[in-house]
Amino acid sequence: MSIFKEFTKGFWKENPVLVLVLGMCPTLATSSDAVKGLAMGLATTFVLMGSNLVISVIRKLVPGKIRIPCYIVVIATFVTVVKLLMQAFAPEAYQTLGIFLPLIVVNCIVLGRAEAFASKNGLLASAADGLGMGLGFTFVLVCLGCIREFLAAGTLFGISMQCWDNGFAIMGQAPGGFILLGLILAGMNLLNMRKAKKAGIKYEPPAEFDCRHCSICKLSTEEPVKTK
Amino acid sequence: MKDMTKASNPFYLAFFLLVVCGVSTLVMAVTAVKTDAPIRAAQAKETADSLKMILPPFDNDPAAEAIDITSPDGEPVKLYTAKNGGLVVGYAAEAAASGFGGKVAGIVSFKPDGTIDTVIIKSGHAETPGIGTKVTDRSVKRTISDVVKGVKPDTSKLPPNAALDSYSGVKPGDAKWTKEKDAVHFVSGATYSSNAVCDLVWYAATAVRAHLAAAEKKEAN
Repeated sequence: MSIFKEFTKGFWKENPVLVLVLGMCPTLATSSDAVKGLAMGLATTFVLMGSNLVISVIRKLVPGKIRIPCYIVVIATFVTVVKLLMQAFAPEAYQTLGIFLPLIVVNCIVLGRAEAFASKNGLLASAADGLGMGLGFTFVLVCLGCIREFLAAGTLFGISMQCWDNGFAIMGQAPGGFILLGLILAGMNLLNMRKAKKAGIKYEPPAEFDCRHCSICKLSTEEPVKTK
Repeated sequence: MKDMTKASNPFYLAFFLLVVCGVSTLVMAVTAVKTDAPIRAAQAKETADSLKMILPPFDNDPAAEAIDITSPDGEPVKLYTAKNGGLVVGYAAEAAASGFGGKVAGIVSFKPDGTIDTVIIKSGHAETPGIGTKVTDRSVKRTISDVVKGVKPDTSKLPPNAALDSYSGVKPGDAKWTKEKDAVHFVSGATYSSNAVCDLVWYAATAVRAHLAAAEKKEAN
């Protein structure tokens, strides 16, 4: 796969939120308004790109048995660096994100990409993957943030659209986020199903996107499914 | 047979983890040292900006002369004293109370006699957007027509907030103000946020009152 394809797959085909359904906690918590979503997305993008790069470089050195702790240490380092930098140079964004900034460490998108991609691919491809996935995540957070902010408070990026002040309050909170995300996921599935129907094939989510192929947590007792 | 190749030797694994942790500690330490001064500057600037907005003109450095006091309810309060030409022109007290989404911290400014002047909220970002933020938010409201017309927001004075402004001119009595008896403004639907603001203003006001009373007693002696 070309570098460009690695970069663009994060936006639609393998979007971390809409297709891989990873990182739900920060998605729901920080998409209550567009500015928050943007700040969270960019911080995660930086961490993803940095950790992907470093993990790709050290992938051949790390013994398999301790790879996960090593990856977590690398990710935690990047998160701490981002936290300090934001505290120093973007204190407003730092305050807005609050606890969710240090919690990027346990964002499954970051560890997921380290384990599923950066530990098996070269430097450039890993950087492109991290950047693409991060921007895909940012894109979804900003979209969700815009819709939720607009419905809840009638504003976009804090600017009043002059339609209502007292909106649909539940959209500003976690349940509203769940409902909206569910609707969007359903819409995505519908689109993909229609596309598959037109092409005359049965739609089935790719095996990479569920638990069957993954050996991180060994919850599944079945043999891992071989993916193409 | 026991596999003792390099990749499964526990000592090698421990050593490898140690090296990874060492390198990451080094990176974090360098960043922490490098960002220490900017972080302090950013925090000091935030406090200084807030104080400048809510206090009358002063010529001392209230943030540097801040003292920690406790309110009669046992809540910690930070007291800033603004002086101009050696005379006290106002006080500001920083307090926090639990809101809907965690702690809400705010600064309350007082006239020299202990009457509440202005209330601003420092961190109320966890309050529900559109509901709780109605009580805590003092940010300049821009509308889409302002943006289209190119109207610049007026930053010279503090944007109004009905709930926060309702405390201006109030002097704390013996009993805590309630929404039924007093004129303080509670936003319906945002009870937790309103209570948090009410609590933190109460902590700040009673702490300042106690501080002033103690100072007076000391002077009389």
